[in-house]
Amino acid sequence: MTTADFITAGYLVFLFVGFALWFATRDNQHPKMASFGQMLRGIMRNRGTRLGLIIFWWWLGWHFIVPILHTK
Amino acid sequence: MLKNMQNESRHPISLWVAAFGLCSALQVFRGSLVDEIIFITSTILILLSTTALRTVSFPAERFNRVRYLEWAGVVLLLSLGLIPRHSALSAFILLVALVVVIPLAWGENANSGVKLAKREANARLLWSSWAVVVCLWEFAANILGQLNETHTEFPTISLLLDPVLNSVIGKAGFVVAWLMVGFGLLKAGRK
Repeated sequence: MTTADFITAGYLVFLFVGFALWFATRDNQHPKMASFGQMLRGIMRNRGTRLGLIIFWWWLGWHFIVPILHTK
Repeated sequence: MLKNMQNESRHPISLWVAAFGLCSALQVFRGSLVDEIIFITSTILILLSTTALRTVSFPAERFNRVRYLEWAGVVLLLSLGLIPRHSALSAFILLVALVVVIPLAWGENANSGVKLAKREANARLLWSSWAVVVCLWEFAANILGQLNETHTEFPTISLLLDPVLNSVIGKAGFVVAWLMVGFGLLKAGRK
């Protein structure tokens, strides 16, 4: 396994863990853990969070659509 | 004034300021001038939004009554889907989108004053931890790639996704997913 394989596998593990967390709490019935959507509605009551998330979302679009990546 | 701010929020200065500050430092390390400008300006904007400009409001709720967002999403989808990547026109469209979404996210209130329920706070801690670990992994790959001068040995998410986005289907899929996330964030921010 190369270093690149290891790093890529890490991203896939994080993706799987994120999906599993979302799936396990999606019905919002867990006694100690709100669903992702419920949590999002709660934290979006704060302006700093709203701006932080929306700017980061916008930057993702910018980053993947506008600049040319310079890689070696 | 400070006492009032602390009554409304446990963190009068949003932790997003720290997060964007760290991202700004990484962009300086990367040497990406445009990203430096974006993140440093955003850090200052978020800081001001909950401190000096906290009483400034924008009637974002008004735009929720009609289907402005849905129509704007369709226009963005068609334009970003049809215009080639890395073009000046795509940059212009995204800048226009930024000018629209900032006031919508700004909204009426800096803080509603409603405390998160325990279940919501637990979920926030869980998802924040997940996001921090992902970011640290990405930052490590980026920094090691810069130091080693071989990005392919330490691939970032951008490097892995870039070839996919060069295909028509890959780009269309990304634009649809990206717009859906943005739409969901703006809707969640007004409930």
